[in-house]
Amino acid sequence: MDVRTRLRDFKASIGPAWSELKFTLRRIRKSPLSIVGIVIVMVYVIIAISAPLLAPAVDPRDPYAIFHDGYGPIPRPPGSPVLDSYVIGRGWMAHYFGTAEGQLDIYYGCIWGTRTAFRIGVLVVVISLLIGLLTGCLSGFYGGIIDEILMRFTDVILAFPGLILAMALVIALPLSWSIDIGFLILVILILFAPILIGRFLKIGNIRAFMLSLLGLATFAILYGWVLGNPLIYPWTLNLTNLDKVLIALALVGWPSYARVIRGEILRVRQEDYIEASKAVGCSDFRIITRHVLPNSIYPIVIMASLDIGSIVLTAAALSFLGIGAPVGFADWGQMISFARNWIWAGIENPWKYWYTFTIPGLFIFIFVLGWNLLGDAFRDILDPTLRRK
Amino acid sequence: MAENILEIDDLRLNFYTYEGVVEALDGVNLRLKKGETLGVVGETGCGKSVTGLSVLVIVSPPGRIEGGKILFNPKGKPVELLALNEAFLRKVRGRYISMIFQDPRSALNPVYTAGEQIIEVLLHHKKEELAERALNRIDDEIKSGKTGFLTNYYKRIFQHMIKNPKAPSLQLLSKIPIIRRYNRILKQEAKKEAVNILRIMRMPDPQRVVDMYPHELSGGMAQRVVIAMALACSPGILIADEPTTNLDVTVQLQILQLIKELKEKFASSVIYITHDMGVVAEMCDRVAVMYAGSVIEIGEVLEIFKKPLHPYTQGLLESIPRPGFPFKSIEGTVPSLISPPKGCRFHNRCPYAMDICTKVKPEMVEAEKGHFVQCFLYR
Amino acid sequence: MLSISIKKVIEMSVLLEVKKLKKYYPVLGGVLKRKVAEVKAVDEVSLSMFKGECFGLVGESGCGKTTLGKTIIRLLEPTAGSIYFDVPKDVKEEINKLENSADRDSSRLKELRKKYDLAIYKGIMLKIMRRKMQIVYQDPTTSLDPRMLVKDIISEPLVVQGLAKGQGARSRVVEILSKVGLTEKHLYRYPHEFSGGQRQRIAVARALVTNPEFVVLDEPTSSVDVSMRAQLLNLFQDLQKDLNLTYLFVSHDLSVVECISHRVAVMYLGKIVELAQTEELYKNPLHPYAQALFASIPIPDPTVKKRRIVLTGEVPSPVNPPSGCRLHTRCPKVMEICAKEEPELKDIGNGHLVACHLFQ
Repeated sequence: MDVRTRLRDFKASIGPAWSELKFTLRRIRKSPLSIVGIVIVMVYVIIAISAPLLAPAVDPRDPYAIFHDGYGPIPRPPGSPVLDSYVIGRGWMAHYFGTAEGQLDIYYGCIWGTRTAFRIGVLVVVISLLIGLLTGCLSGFYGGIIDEILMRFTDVILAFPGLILAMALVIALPLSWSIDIGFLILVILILFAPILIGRFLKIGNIRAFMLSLLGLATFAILYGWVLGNPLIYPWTLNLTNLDKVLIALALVGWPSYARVIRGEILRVRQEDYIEASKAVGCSDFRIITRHVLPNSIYPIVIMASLDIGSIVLTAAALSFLGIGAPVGFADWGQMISFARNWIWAGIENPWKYWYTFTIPGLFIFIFVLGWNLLGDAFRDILDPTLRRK
Repeated sequence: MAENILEIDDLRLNFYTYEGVVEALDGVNLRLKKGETLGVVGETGCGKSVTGLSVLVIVSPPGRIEGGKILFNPKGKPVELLALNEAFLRKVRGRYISMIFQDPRSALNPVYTAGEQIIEVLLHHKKEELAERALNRIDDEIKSGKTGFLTNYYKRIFQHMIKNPKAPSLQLLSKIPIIRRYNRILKQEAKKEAVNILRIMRMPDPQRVVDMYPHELSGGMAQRVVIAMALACSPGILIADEPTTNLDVTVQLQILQLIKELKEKFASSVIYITHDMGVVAEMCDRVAVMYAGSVIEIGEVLEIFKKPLHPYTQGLLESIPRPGFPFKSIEGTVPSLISPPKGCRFHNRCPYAMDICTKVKPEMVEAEKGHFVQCFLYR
Repeated sequence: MLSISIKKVIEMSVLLEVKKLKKYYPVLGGVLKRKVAEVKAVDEVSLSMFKGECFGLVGESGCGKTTLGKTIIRLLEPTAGSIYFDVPKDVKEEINKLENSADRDSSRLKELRKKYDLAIYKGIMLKIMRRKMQIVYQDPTTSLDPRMLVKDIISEPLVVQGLAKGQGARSRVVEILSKVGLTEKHLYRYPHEFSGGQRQRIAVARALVTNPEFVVLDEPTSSVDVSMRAQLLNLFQDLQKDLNLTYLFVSHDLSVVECISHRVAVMYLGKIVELAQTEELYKNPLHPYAQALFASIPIPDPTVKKRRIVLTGEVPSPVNPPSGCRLHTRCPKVMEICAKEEPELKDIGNGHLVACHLFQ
C-alpha cells in the first residue's frame, strides 16, 4: 500500500472513533456531576504524582514514613511552627494541617497517603479484575460442567468474609515472605495454569502460552511498580501488613466481576452476530476476544471504578483497627487511628483537636466520592441502551 | 349522515433528543366517522403510531405535544382531549377510547393471569355495574335464606357503591380486614364477566384461559386477551396499532375477522394503524396515508386503490410485489425529521416535484368528493 | 417467466441434496435433568435444490423453516440425516445404491459419507465448507457487531478463512461493496450509522465476500420497510444472476416468496407438506394446510373477495405432535386414516409433491 492510501486509511479509520469521542464528551458536559467526579480524581492523581514536590521527604530512604516533630503526645493545631531543627533543615517551616499524637505531621501523611490510596485501590481492583474476567469468560462462554464448577468455586469465595481473611493473612503470612517458596509458587501457577486450561479446552498450546506470558508480565509489572518500593529489587519482597491486606482483599473481591462478566457473556452469546461469526468459521477464541468481550466489558468498567473507592474505604477501616499499614506509614486510615484518643476533648471545647480526624477523613471522603461519581459517569456514558436517547 | 366521533386538527408533536429536535408530527388532520374503520398507513417513522398515542395523550417524554386540537365527540358534546387534566383522561382511557398494541406478549403483565388483567380494567371502569350484579346476588342469597353474618352490611356497601363508587368511606372500609371481603364478591362478579368477554372473543375454553399467565398463551390467544381488555367497556373508539404484524398469517386472519365482528357488536369506530396494504384493503372503509409526520392523502379505500392521487401513495401501491412484474421501489430515503426539508417533505423523492414544492407546504385540498390530497399537483 | 419448465428441471444440476434430515432438541426435566421429551423441530426432511434457483420455504412460526435453513449450513448440529453439497453425479448414484441395498454398514459407504456428507464434517473440512455456504439474517441490527467498523465486518470472513489479508482483503471488500450498492466511503463507519436497508446490504456483502455458491436468506426483508423491500429484492435477483447463486429463501411473507422463488415448499410442524413450482403452487395448492395458508394472505385489492378457509384451533406443540398426519386435528378434510398413518411426500406429476392422504 502506498503512503497516500495508508494515510487516507488512517485518517478515515480515526474518523468514527473521533465522532464517538465527541459524542461522549458532549454527554459528559451535560452531566455536571460527572465533571465533578472527573475533576476530583484528576486532582488526586496530580497530588499523588507530585507528592515529592508538595511534601518533600524528610527521610529520603523511606518517604512513606511520616516525620516526627518531637514525640509529644498532644496534637498541635494547623499552622504551628516546626520545632525540630533537623526537620527545619529539610525544608519544613510549619505544620500546615497540624500534628497528630506523637507529633506526626498530618499534611505530610495526607499527601503521601494519596499515593498509598491509589496503590491500594488500583492494585486490588486490577488483580480482582483479572481473576474475575478469566473465570467469568471461561464460565460464560463454555457453559456446561465448566460453568458449574467455576461458579461453585466462585460461590465458595464469595462466602469468605473479607475482613476476617485479611486479619488471618496478616497473622499467618510471615513478615518478609521468602521469595524462593512463595513467589516461585505464584510464578509457576501463573505460567502453567493457562496451559493446562488451554489443553483442556483445546484452545491451542501457543495461544495458552501467550496467555500465560501475558499474565506473568502483568504480574511482574504490578509487583515491581505498584507493590514494591522501586528502590528495592522486585524479587526481594518485603511484605508489609498492608500488602497482606491487599492480597486478602483481592482474593475475595473477584467473584462479583466473574458473575457480572458471565452474565454479560450469556446475554451477548445469543446475539445474531455471534452466530454469524460462527457461520463464517471463527474459532471460539476469536469470537470471545473480538466479539463477545468488547461488547460486554462496560458493566465491568463501571464496577471497577466504584470498587476502587470502596476498597480504599475498607483498607482505611482495617488500618484504623491496626491491621494494615505499619505504624507511621503514610496512610489515611492510619492517620485517623492516631486521632483515636483525641476525637472528644472534654466538655468544654470538645472539638479542640478536630484537625486530627477531620482532615484525613475529608481526604478519604472526597476520594471515594470522586470515584463513585466517575463510576456513575461511566455508566451513564457507556450504557449502550441509554446512549442514543 | 354519520357524524365525526373524532377530529384531529393540526396536531404537532416534537421529540427532544440528544441529537436535536425531531419534528415527528407536523400538522396531522384526521376525521373519524362514527362506526367506520379508518386505516392509517405509512412506513416506519412516518408518525402513525405516535398519532395513535396522542389521541390517548400518552406520549411520554422526550416527546411533547406542541399544538393542535383533538375533539372527541361520542354523544354530541365535543370534548377537547388535549385540554383535559390527567384525572379526567384516566376516565376516558379504556372506557371511551381504547388501544391495542403490536406485541401482545409485552402488552400483558407477566406476573398477573389473563383474568386478573381483564378484571383490573373492569374494576376500574365498571364498578357500578358490578356492584349492581353483586347486589342482585346478595338479594338472591337473602331470599333463599343463605346469609352470612355480614350479608346485610355487604348489601349496604354495594348500594352505596352504586351511587358513588369512589367514596372515601368505601376506601376506608376496604382496608378493614374482615369487612373488606366484599371485594371478593365484587371480584367474583368481575371474573364471571371476564369469562363472558373471552367467550365473545372466541377464545377456546375461556374458563381455563382466565387463570393462565401470559407466557402460557400463544400469540393469537394473548392478542385476544388484549382485545378483551380493550373492549371490556365498549369504548367508542378502538385504536389498533399493528395488532397482527407479529402474528402468523392464519392467526392474523382469525384476529382480523374477530375485529370486524366485534366492531359490529360493540358499535365502535376503529382506527387501524398498519403498514400492510392488504390488511387495509380488507378491513378499512377509509384510509389515511401518512408520510414524514403528516397525512398526505385520505379517502375511501376503493378510491385510493383505484386512483391514488399523491405521488407517494402511487409509489407505495406500485412497490407491492407482484409476481411476474419487476420490483419497483420509491427512490431515495425518508428524510431525517431533525431538520426536515422545507416545503413538502416528499419533494426530494417526488418524480413530479415542482419549484414551489421546495418552498411551501401544500394544504389539504378536496381533489374529488371525499378524497383529500396534500399536493400541489391538485391545487 | 420465473417458473422453470420441466425440461430445464431435468437438465439443471442438483447442487444441494438433503436426505432425511432431522433436528431434535432434547427437553430436559426432573432433578437429574434427563431427557423427558424431544422437540422435533425438523423431522425427516428430504429435498434437492438446483444450481441457480431460488428455493422458497414458507410456513408459520414454529414450523421449523429457520431451523432447517440453519441446520443445512451446519450452524446447528443435525441429529440425523445427510447433506450432500455439490457432489458429482456418479458418487451420488453409488451412495444411493449402497444405501438402498442391504449393505448399509459397508465400509465403502462410510468412507464416501465421511468425504462427502456435510452432516458429519468436522474440523478443517467444515471450515472450508463454510466458504461456500453462507447466511443472511432477518434483523440487520443484531446480526452485525455494533462495535466493529463495516470494513472489519466484511473482511472478517476473508481473514478467518485465510483467503486474503491487508491490501488483498481491502480490494475485495471494496469490490463486494460496489456489488451491493455501497461505496468505499462507507467502509469506516459503524453499523448504527446506517438505515435498515443499508445494514441489510452490509450483511449481504459479508455473506458474499467468500464467493459462496449457496446462500440461506432467513426472512431478509421482514425487518425492512416496504419501500426498501423492493430494492433489496432487486438486489437479490441481480446478484443471483450475476454470481450464479442458489438461494434458500425462508420467509413467512407469502407474497414476497411468490415473486422471487422458482420453487416453493410449505412446512408444517417440521415436515414438508407440499412442494411445487411457484406458479403451480400458488394457483393450485393441494394440501389443505397450503390452501388455508394461501387463502389467508390479505390481498391489496379491495374489489377482490376471497373464500376463506379458517383453520380451527392453534398450532400444536412440536414436543408432542399429533399422530399420523400432523394436521389431522385441525384439517377441514380429515379422514379416518389421517390419524393413524403419516402420509408420504409423493410426486403427483409435474414436479408437484404433496404429503396428504387425499392424493395417495
